[in-house]
Amino acid sequence: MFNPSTPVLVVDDMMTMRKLVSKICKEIGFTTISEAADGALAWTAIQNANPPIGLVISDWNMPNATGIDLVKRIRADSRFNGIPFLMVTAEAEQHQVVEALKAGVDNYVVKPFSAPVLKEKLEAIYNKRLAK
Amino acid sequence: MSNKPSLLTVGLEPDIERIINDLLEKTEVVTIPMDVDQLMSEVSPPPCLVISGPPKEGLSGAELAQTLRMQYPELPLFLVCNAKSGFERKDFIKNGFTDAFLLPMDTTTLRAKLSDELAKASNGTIRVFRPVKILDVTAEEPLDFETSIFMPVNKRYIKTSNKGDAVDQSLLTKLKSSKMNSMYVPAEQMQNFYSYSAKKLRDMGSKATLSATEKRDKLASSVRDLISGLFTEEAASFESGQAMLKDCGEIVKSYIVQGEDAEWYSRIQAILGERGDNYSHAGNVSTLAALFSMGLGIGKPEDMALAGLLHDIGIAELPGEIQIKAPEDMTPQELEIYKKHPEMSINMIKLRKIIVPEIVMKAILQHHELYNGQGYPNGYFGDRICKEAQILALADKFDYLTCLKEGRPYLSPSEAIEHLRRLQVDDPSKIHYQPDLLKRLLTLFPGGIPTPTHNP
Repeated sequence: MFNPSTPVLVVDDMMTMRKLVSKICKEIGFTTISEAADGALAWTAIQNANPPIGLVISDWNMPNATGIDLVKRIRADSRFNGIPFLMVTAEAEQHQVVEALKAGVDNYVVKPFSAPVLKEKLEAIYNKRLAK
Repeated sequence: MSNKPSLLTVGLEPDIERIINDLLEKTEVVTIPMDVDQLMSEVSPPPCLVISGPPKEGLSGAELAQTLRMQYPELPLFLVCNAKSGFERKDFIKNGFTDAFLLPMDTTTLRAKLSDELAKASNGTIRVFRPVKILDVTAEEPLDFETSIFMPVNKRYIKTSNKGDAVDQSLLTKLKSSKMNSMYVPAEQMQNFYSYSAKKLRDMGSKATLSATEKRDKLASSVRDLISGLFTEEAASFESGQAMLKDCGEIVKSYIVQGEDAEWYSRIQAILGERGDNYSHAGNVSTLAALFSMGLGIGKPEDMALAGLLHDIGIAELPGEIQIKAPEDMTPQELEIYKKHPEMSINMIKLRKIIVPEIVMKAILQHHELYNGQGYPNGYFGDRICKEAQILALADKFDYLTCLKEGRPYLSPSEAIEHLRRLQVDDPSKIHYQPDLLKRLLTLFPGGIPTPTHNP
């Protein structure tokens, strides 16, 4: 599982959702959590973060730049294309899952979710990607 | 020690609380304002249900829904709202609410669903009773629902038979002769009551041992019983009257489903449900038209129920400004367009490829024709208008008179019947319905026929 000091970036245009997801991350054990209100602000945060962001948990539907826009930008940049990315959304239509995976997300979680569910999704990402 | 289930209310307005106060009293209510921090805090005791007012304080509907759903992933979440603006039922549900209610139209549904949830959550200790008319019940006949009577003196329900048992003969006799003729069924057993009633109505219509006249009389008498439920003191409030009409609607639905070719009914309801309305003029007209058909022996109840559901489906195709206006308020130009809605309903049915009997199409097309030729779209005169269309028209009229319209007074069922009674008598040039048909219809309503005197 991710190191608890991994800097996490929570991205969602709804303030309540950002707070909720951050709360759940704290419950799981993460100690360094920052927030951004849309994909564009998230990109700025990623570029400026020190220490660098180690995990992004992002909503899909946001103004200015969506979750899909964000992951595409991250994957296209050699400095950041290795950052694990979990997409959060309120819908679970089949075509959206495929689009998200094609764009480069590591995993996908549907709202509402609990702390155990989020933990499970993150562990899956960790085991697949980083446990090598 | 209180074993009351716990309920959380979020930013609920006082006048909404008033409407569900009697149900709230049966629970431990925890109240929080519509505040982000409080929304995300633990609540004690943990609720079994959440009722929220409309989103406020900078929260969007989606945000409120998603936050509550994240906080309470497994609970029923209800949104209750007074104002039409900002109310997008489908959006609220998509984002996490279990259901959303716009008052006052959805009061009945809200109360019914709330009662159901509370009964479930309390493992049956909270019981809500519904007043019913038990049709054609005989002494030896076991009923698969529990019955009770209500003692107004001490405001208590006294059980009169268990589920699976028959009602005592002497009690039945006593009830028939007394003014207290409503029995009560627990809310969670109403589905059994609907099936029972529907089966009774079907049996009456098909019993080989009865003559055609006897069948007609029995059906008319049963329909009279069902309709009279709309005229009791309990039904006097808009909410209760609508609840009873919905009960009749469930009986009609059960009646149709027990017959052949019943899957269309759910399909049509699904199409209507797309518009996302809980309160349904179409549903009420469907119920009334089916009951009138049964009571008068005109047309097939299934056909009339279908006609009722579809009769105004074309209105959704009219321009928005016209849809929200009442015909009395329209300009001459708007009225011209509005008068096209029967034809547009027919077109929509064809477009949607809904297979509908010819007589249903006719009834829908003609439901605004008037006996004196002053109707539309074709100005048909007298008996050129099919009887089914006239029944549909009367069902439509009755619901229109008794439903809530924004900024407009509505009539109680009694006042509506008086209105219909006087309609053609006061002004002979205003013969809208075939006089004999109207007269026969009025006999289905209380006060329509002289009550038989008892011979000892």
